[in-house]
Amino acid sequence: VAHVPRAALEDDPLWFKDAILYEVHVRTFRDSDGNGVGDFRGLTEKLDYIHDLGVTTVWLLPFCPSPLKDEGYDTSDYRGVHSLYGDLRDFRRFLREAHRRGLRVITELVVNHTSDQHEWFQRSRRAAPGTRARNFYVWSDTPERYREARIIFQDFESSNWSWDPVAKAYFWHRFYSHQPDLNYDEPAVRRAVLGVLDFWLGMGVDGVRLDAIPYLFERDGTDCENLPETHAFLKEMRRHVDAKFKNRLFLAEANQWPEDAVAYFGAGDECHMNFHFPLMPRLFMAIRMEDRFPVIDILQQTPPIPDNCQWGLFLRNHDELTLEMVTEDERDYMYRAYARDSHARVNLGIRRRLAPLLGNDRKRIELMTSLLFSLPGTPVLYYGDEIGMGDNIYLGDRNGVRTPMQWTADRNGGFSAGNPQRLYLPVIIDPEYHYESVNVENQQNNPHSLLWWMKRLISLRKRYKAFGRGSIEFLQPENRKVLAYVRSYGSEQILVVANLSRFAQSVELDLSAYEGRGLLELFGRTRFRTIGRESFALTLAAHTFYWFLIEPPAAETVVQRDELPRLAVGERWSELFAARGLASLEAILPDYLHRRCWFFGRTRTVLAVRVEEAVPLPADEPIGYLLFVQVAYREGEPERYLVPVAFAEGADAEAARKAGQAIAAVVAEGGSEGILHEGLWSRSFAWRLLETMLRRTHLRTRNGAITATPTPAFRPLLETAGEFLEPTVVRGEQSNTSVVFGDLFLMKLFRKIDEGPHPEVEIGRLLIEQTEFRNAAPLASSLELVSKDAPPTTLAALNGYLPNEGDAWSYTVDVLGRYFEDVLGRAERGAAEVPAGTPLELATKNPPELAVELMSLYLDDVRLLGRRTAELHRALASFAADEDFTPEPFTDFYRRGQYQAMASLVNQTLPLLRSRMGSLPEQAREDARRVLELEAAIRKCFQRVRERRVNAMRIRCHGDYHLRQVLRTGRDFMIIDFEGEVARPLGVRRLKTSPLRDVAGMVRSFHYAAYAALFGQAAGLRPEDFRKLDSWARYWHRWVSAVYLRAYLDAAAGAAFLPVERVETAILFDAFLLEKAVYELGRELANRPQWIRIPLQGIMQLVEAPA
Amino acid sequence: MQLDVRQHNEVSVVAVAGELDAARAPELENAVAKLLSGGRSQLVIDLSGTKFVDSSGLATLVRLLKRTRSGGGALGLCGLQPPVRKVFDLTRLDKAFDVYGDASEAVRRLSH
Repeated sequence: VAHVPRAALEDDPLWFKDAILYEVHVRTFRDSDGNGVGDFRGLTEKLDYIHDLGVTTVWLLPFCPSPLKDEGYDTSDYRGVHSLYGDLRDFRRFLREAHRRGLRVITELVVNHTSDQHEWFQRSRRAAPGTRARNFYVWSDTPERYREARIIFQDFESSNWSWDPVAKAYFWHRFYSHQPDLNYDEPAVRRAVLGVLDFWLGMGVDGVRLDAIPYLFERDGTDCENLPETHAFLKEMRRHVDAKFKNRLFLAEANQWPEDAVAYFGAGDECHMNFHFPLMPRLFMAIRMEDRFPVIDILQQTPPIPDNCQWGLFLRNHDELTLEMVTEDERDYMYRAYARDSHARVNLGIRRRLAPLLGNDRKRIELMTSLLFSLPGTPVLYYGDEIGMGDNIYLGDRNGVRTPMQWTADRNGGFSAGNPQRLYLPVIIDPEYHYESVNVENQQNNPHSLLWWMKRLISLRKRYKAFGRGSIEFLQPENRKVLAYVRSYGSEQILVVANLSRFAQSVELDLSAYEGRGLLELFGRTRFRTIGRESFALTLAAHTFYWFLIEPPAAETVVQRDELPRLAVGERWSELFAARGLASLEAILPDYLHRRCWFFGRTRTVLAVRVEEAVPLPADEPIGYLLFVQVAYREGEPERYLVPVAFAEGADAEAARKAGQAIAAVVAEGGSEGILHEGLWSRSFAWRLLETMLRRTHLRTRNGAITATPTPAFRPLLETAGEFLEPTVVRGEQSNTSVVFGDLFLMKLFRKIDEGPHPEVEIGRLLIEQTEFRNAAPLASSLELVSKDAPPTTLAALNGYLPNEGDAWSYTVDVLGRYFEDVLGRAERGAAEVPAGTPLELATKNPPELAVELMSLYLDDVRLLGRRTAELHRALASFAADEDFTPEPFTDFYRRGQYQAMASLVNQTLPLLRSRMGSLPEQAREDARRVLELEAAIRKCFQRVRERRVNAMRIRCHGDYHLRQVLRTGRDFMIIDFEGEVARPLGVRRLKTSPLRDVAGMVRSFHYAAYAALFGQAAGLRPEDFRKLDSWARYWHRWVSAVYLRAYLDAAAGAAFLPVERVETAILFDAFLLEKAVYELGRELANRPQWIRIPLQGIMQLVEAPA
Repeated sequence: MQLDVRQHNEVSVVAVAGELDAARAPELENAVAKLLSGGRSQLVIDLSGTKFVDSSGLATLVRLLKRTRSGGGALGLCGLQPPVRKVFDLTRLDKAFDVYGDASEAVRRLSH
């Protein structure tokens, strides 16, 4: 038998823990030849669908030759394929194609019994008693033996013994009387079974489900289930397979109570996986009774299993929803709740599919599926349930849940091109579940369908290992209608909260163990409030659930109490700031600085940290100090930082530490202890600092003073400010520390400080005092360190705070999330028509109707943003009275300098890219190679700047303009942060340039947003769809940029800062865009290689665009 | 400061007379809070009788705006006198609030 390669599969013996199984019968899926029965060629055709669904493993129901009296669980030949489904070649091709897509395949091993048509039985019944052939099966002269064994198919069989007129003896069968049980006491049977196993695993099959495994042996005086002999043989099988093959799976079907079922794991030396039968009916009970008890109860009764084993979980499968593993009362309840119609009952169970069981209620289907995918175990999805297929309870036995898969609204639901009367079972035409409406095609085209929801759920589960491998801990909130648990694996912790009730519920969760950590809702990537010490209150709409990632604690900033450096003082903590104390402070500061995100020297070697001055605040009775700290490095220029510090004791101290704000523990001689922490984190310190900025107060320093300069127009407001303005430190700031005071003022404290005017304050003051531009946060005051012998140093800016709806970046990513969802249906049908041409060329065209339809509101937004950008530039260019702002000509000399800077950026960046090639993410390498090939074209783009004279003025600009620098106030945009690129020296940030640089920055930002949304910042997108959506991302970016650019150019028309000739504008703008993209490339190479494709694509699109 | 609350169908108009400062802002806050907790969600604050708003008055208005919006309601301002208008202009808060000419215009716009 030819071996099928398995190279695309991950080499991990525990792969099944992360797996998601898709259970399918080849007969039901796709009929390739029109004979009315699904086959392997059809199934192979549909592998792309299965792969796209996101499941990782296909579990195939029996397909060997068989008289098919019991769905193929009556095997007549173990080494073939039933002719209805194809042949072994078809199967091997299917296996190869599945493996090529990274899908594993599990088949059935039905070896408790055979069909009575199997040649082993035909031989056995004719053989003389006592011969090996006869002994293949269990024969008896009386039907009286093993009376304690239960009858499983009690609707169909009255005894486990049947009379065979040929053998003139009774044969043993645990299932139908046409399925004689093999006799495992006969060594030849055991050898034959191992041979069958080798046959399929040798071909490359990844695992087998061991059907009816508890019944292999029979012994007098027992119920003939779970016998020690059976376990001994299982261990033998496992040893056999482990010795011969790698990464294969045994999946047991042992429909037993948990304590018996656990036995099939052995000591990790029998089955890898086993179905958790009792859990499934209890999930249905819990949602019906609106009480979490049944679920928690059964899981708490479930014994622990070996580390290398896993439960298999399912809601529905090809059999009835079995109620064997519930008590009689519970069974009665389940029948009344889920199977009032007696047609729906079979054996001890309910023959229905998931959707009809749950009343075709989308919310309940989602809730149940979310539990299936988040409880400990590997979930199994039954084919068709992902689209909410219906069933037909009027077909006999369990055939009602085995009808053809519904692909399209065409004949036979797209399952078969044959005569509808020839189908093995009729397709579903129940009006509620008719294949014309419930089918894959319809749902693929609708991103809001159940199918898409399933795809997202599956994708989400695959992103977190905690679901498959983690432990579970139940929370016990008072409200029993809410089921809540935490899944933990390594540092990953996921909180699941589910409302089992059909009405809204509120719940209070005790999450104190996770105090201080954030909660990120995974479907929407919505950030909930930080977990506090008190109980965490949540409200849940009817049948809703949440999956939260409990965000890891900010490990680099939170330091354990006993790991904090200790500073000893005599009596008072303020002794630290006397000349003698400073040395001990200086010794611990380098470590502290390295933990702060505003410290730029994190990658440099610090030689020494010196506290130049500690200014008490307030002067007489200090509650804190402003430290001026100089950091000297082994290489390069020293830097200065502003570090405000304050002191706390007791609970406040502990809170400061947990918030990651602690600097050191301070121990006094008497033994009392406190914590030195980030000053602004203290309410009273923040207020004191604000107070100094409100009025023209001074703080005396060694060589001068710290002085505030309020904006005159703001004075009446500043003077009436009071402690009613609650300070809140803004989270997530990178290079500064910002505090909002009572929604009225925002104080931005600069951390890396420099002598000389600061652009933020300089531009802020100009805009509010000299111009009519109103779309920027108004500057209310500034704080400077002034001294006799040096230019002033700006320490902080105070701005009017603007109530806003977040920044334009998150808004854009949100919009993009919806855009991608809308186009997903379209993307199924093909790529977008991405327009050609340079950005400026495109700006002269009108976006096509499709673009307007897909992004109309956002196009209005960027039009407004384009206009506001132009207005900002006009305002910045309007003030000629101050030479720092006077527009200057774009001289040839300046132009040459610009070109030189661009060329040297290329000289630095491309060699770096070349040297890092080996360490780049796989997908990025192709792009990187292409960009390196394009070096000549990149240089040419920059050379145009050198070659062509530009007639325009250069002016002061924003300097670091992108979507995060723009706030939305609902109807308008407010531009913030005029400090330029913080990594550069102040002087450079104040240089005049062409404002087209700002415009290029914004256009690059659109590009980043499109890909950031694709790469997972937007809710609900699956990595699997990136490739399909790529052209649509470019489509969006190109048209949004074009509309923005056009609005800008229209609003700036005639301004002196725009070149007179369009071609000059084009040369400059293209070069600025490219410069920005190359700069981003260098930055991502250093910091975030996984983002590198964005600038690479940006560069390619710019230089490859037809000139 | 005097407060006068009137209902125009679903819209409540709170007219403020006198200075809106630290001493009086809490009174306005209480009055609006009472309306909100009484289920009123369409509010207008009529400042035509106010010549002076200080930082605490302004902070109160912003806080009320956030509260009303987070409850799904709307809060409009009207009758801004020149000194008050100057404050809103300076702080750019006119971009955050819906500002109307007079009470009847505000009521009309909020009724839809």
